[in-house]
Amino acid sequence: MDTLMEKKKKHNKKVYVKNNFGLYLMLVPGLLSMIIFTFVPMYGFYMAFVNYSPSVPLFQSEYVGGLWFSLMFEDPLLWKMVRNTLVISSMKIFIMFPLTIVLALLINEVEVRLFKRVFQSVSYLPNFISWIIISGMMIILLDSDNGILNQLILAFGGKPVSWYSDPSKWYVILLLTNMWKNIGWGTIVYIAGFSAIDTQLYEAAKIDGASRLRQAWCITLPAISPIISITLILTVGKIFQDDFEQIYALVGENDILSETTAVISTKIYQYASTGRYDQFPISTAMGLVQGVVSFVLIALSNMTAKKLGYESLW
Amino acid sequence: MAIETRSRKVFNICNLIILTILGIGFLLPYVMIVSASLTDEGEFLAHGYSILPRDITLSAYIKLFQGDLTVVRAFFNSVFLTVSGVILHVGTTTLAAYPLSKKKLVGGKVIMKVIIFSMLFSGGLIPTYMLIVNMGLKNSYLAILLPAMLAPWNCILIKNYFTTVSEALEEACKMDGGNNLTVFLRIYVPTSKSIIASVVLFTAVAFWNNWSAPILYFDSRHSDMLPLTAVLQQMLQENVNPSGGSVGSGFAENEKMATVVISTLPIIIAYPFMQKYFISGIMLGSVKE
Repeated sequence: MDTLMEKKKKHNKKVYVKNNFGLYLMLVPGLLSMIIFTFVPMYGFYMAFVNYSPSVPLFQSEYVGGLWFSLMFEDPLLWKMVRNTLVISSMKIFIMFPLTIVLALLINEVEVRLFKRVFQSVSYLPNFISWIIISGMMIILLDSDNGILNQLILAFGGKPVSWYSDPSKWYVILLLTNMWKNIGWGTIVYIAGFSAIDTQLYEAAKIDGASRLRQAWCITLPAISPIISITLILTVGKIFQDDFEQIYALVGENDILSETTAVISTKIYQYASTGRYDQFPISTAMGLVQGVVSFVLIALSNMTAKKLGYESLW
Repeated sequence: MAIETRSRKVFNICNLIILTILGIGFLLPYVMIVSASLTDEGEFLAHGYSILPRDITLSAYIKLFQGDLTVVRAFFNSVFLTVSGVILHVGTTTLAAYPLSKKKLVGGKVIMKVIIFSMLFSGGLIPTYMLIVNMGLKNSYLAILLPAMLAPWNCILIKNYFTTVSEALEEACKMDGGNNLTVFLRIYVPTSKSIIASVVLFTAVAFWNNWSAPILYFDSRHSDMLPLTAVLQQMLQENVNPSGGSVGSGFAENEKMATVVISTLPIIIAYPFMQKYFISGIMLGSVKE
């Protein structure tokens, strides 16, 4: 019986595919682009295992096994880049993440409708602004001779700072610019959560004489706690990803700042755009390790979210 | 009760003050770039940048439109890339979202998993770069237009929206002899205008803001093909890397800032339209049944 059923199911599937061939054709352009430009390049990971030179075809290059990987782990630059990535991601988790929730709560408490709408518009806009444009804005602020910050420091009798050659300042600059661009947009998910809360709860709390703070603490926060946990889990999952666009736009190839701004993706881009073929194998190895580690972490964080009963990617 | 309302008033005022200060913080950078672009070069050399311009002159803009026209050309390159990118990518993504929205689609779940995987893991920059070079796409706009035509996130948004379209309409259209493509074009696309509009805007912004791929794929002899933000990136290099010995771009500071303003303007103009769509679009997309 069972096999008959299975046979029938298989047959049904075949009929479905036959009758809906058009549906499959609609997938072709997108999948083709994905296969060619996302999956085919994966053969290039072989570069991390050979002695590469641009004059020799990749698969005829001399195989060197895990040489680049062992060299890579001895490279102090790698550890510096890993540290920078982890520090920058941690700042996002420990500072930006809670501040986003605080901002969402403050927006939620605004009773003047027009003010609320204007503030939301103004705070979402930076999400659409390119990091290159933000780089232009930062030059106006940070330029050592002409920048506004140094003019202010001088006006208050301080000593001007050469921002673009002082690495110690850049963790903070990266955090603040990231907040300017993304914190407003980050509040959207929470504000969507607020709108789903039953207003009767607040009415009841008011009758019981609960203060505004108490209402936020006892009604609003618990109501959005599922959103908070899933956002946190997903943010933690991205801890090993670095923000190429931000860092390369803001500091480019400025090596003086590399102590705090060097990350794997910008280094790889620098090698590729300047044609440093000698560096291709080791940076491919670095990219591969980073890619695998981030993938595993993101997959784990999604699985955790799913286990906890939240929506997840799969 | 009286104390309660009073503390409430105090809180409201404090809250408004905090948010106003933050709002000024969000807005000030735009004011700064506009001021810098309107500042005369001599004035800049004497006093540096300022939040509000001391003296207003349009000389930077006039120079950009009279000189070697690098910025004007780059602007039109950006327009071309954005328009063709939107048509190709949104078309492909919407087309793919339709079959994926069918619950009965055989293999649909596997394809969805592959798409999500592609979002999280890829060949990496150097292997992709080598592939583009080997395919002869270096110095071609195709290097920017062809990859990633199926945008995973946008595809999920549209797919989720498609699943809410009424099946009765679809059956009726099929009764009249419509095939999958006509059902897609006559029923699904028109009823999903709002989500497609927001995906169009997101894609347009992504293409307008794309600078890293063009810089990577166009060599110095083809720099006249670069879009605006890429040209801007090269202009600003000497500022962010003052001791890096990078070649000066030959642009004065106010011309650079005028270019910053010109590349920001289309986003600001499109923003009110986006706003109309993105909130509803994102909410609908994220609220799965």
